[in-house]
Amino acid sequence: MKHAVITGAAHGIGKALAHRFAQAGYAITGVDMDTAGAARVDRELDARFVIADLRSDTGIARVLPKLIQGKPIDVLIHNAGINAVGRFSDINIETQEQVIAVNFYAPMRLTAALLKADRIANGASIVFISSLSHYTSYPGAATYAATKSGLASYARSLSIALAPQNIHVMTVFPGPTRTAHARRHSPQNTREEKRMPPEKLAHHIFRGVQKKKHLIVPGATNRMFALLGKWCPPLMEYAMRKVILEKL
Amino acid sequence: MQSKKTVLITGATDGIGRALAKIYRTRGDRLILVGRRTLDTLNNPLYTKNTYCRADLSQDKCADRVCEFLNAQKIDAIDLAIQNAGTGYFGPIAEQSAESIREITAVNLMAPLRLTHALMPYLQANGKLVLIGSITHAFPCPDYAVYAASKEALNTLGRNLKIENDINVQIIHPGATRTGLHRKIGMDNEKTKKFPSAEKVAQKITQAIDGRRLVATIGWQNAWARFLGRYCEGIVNAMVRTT
Repeated sequence: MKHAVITGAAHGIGKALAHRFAQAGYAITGVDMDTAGAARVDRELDARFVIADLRSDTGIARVLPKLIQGKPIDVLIHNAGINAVGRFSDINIETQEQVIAVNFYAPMRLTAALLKADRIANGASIVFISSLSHYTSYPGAATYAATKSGLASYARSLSIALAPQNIHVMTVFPGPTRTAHARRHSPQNTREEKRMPPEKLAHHIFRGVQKKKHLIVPGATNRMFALLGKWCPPLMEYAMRKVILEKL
Repeated sequence: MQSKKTVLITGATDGIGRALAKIYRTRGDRLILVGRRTLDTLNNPLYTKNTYCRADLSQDKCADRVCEFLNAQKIDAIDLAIQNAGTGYFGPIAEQSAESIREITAVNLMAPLRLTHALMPYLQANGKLVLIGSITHAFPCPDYAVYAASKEALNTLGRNLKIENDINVQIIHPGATRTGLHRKIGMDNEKTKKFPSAEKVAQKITQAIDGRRLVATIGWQNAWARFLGRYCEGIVNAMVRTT
């Protein structure tokens, strides 16, 4: 039985990923800080959970030995992420530091330690959940955007570093997703039905892992925005300022 | 005749930071030099108790140290804040210690974030914030992935701060430079000796700061390399893969 480790697996995209990989016959180990949410997913899937807060070194130190003593990992998905929305100067600095800790620092720490402990199986996939903001910009969440772009860069380097060991690395750039996380952090939720359901995103990611893709931007609309943001940054930056920043 | 400016430089005891400090001193500017070393180890008239602020940028409270220094010096506005301090690691990803990952994240990303946040009131009127990135942010760097990732994060932070438009931000990406960093991270070899000197690079950085470009790359070869790394990802990845 193959083994998938998913961080932030109690809710949203992580939960959908847990379901999708379990459906394909994977044994699931989830990492999350929400005991009640984890218990719910656990009941649904018979997943194993490590309860830890990835904002702190102590949280990371709690997760690592459990993963290192566990079965070799065939799919590792760095999905846990937090956001802080507002103008940079208005968001208190401790909150922004936590965004860096969870979104950027924790995935790099976990990856390096699991590689060193030889816990990543031959032929495994390591998946990083970045964000469409890497292409489009995200004024009103400058720190979040910074961590997600940093993560994409790390994954790009890792992909080349680990190719000789037959470890596949994939970066996912999801656009707006219909999760509680998105609802909390959006200036308005009137068009929530336009956001991609997490189940659909999880399916895209599952297929990307099977096909050993390196980059995926799920959804045709998102791909169009990514292209525009990459080749004509001022246009997307203007749009993001109108749609997000000025509505905060 | 330019009027005297107040210029803050982090990572000012070595390499590009020190070279920048020398240039602004010749211009007659008021310097605030931030570094980790103690003042008595710095034998240079640049560093005095009125110009040198000792702060370890890998620590949580680093921005408080800098603000305390500014208060003690009765400085309430900064014209130019150059966040230049950076650290690195060179070697296999699996061999990099937890402490090294923490330190690079702290110095290259957290500290600029903390300082930018803390310095915003000082920069309000006509101040300019300069983030020193690196062209590596546009490349896959299997031997220094965390470093490149921290610089990519910094680049994106700058991009979004620019859109938010609460302060004047500029991002400057130098290429490889002959500084103490390479020796420190064990990358000292024949290749690093060919890199341009910190003085040369600092000179070009000050020209970029005097100019108007919001994102500037130092050196036209570096500018091309950065363009390719960003826009021809597949080709560049394949090139790095085979070397």
